[in-house]
Amino acid sequence: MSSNQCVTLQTSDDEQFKVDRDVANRSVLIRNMLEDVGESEQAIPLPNVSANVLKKVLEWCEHHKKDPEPLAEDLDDNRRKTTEISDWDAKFIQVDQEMLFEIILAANYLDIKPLLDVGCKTVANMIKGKQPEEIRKLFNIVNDFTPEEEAQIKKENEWAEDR
Amino acid sequence: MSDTDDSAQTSPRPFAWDRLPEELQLELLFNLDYYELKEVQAVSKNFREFVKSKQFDKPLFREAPRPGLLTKRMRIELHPLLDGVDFFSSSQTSACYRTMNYESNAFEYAAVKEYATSPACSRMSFRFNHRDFEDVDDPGILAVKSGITVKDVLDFLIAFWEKEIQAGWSRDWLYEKVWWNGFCPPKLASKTKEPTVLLKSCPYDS
Repeated sequence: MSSNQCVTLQTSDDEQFKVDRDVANRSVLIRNMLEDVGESEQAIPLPNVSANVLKKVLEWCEHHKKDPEPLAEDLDDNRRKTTEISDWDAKFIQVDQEMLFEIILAANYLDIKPLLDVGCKTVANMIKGKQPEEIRKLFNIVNDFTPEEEAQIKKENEWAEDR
Repeated sequence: MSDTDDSAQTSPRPFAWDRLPEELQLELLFNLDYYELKEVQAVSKNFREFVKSKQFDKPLFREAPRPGLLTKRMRIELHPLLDGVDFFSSSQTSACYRTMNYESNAFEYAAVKEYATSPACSRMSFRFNHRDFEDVDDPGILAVKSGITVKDVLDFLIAFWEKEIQAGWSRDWLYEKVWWNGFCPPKLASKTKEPTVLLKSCPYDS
């Protein structure tokens, strides 16, 4: 294999990863950078991604390197709820919350829409069926409503709770 | 070994929502449905503001009608509040909202101001199933140019059934002969000049 089919990525903590170009191309950010730079031996710096996160993201990219490009219409709001998370992705995303959070940030930064989608759906599934108090606990969110405001919201939505 | 280099072995740190950029916080909420969005509004002021975003107009029945919005093949959702109302026991001031173990007046909820369908429509027709009972009138067309809200449908159908009751049909008789298990998913009526959404009651014994 000639070297130009490989790409070197450099993480925020100065680790280098050598990957096939079609794996790196899953990231629209990297693909655009490669197109702009042309063939180069230089490592591509990814100052927003640490090695342990990039390792995980590349694992996803490797598995999905032959996936067809997502259609433009799948990228608008129609994509919500239309696609289920595949078994492989569901297993892949079984990580602790901090890593899930990092994967979502990295997928957003690297512009890997299908991976971002897997992360977002996973978080949505964590929210589903939970009471506001449980959601606050889950994501470290401070309740900044006054008791009156909270009671008001509860009253407005009470019909929807007992369904 | 440092305590940060192996995420699988360190104790999981909680997901800090506030550390996500706003666009990602919004993205995370895109996968939620009507009930879930209503629920998360109560989490914090920030969440409440998010849910007001235009991007949630569709799942939250806030998308106003506009020409060309309703097309034949599209899925039209019915506002969930409408499915729980017992029209025969309602009056013009009290819409009897009933679930398994709960009864209240639907008019008291802010949700009655939301559109009756998503996307919203400006014309609606109705069809009720009834068993061996053909004498109930057709409620006719409900037309509201700015978009039919839940309140519009409640007012219209409650007035219709009140009129039927005043005409001599007892409530018991209506429960016996016309009572329905909520509405079928709304559809665009065929052969109408202007786009009209048809709201059919679910078959009596389904």
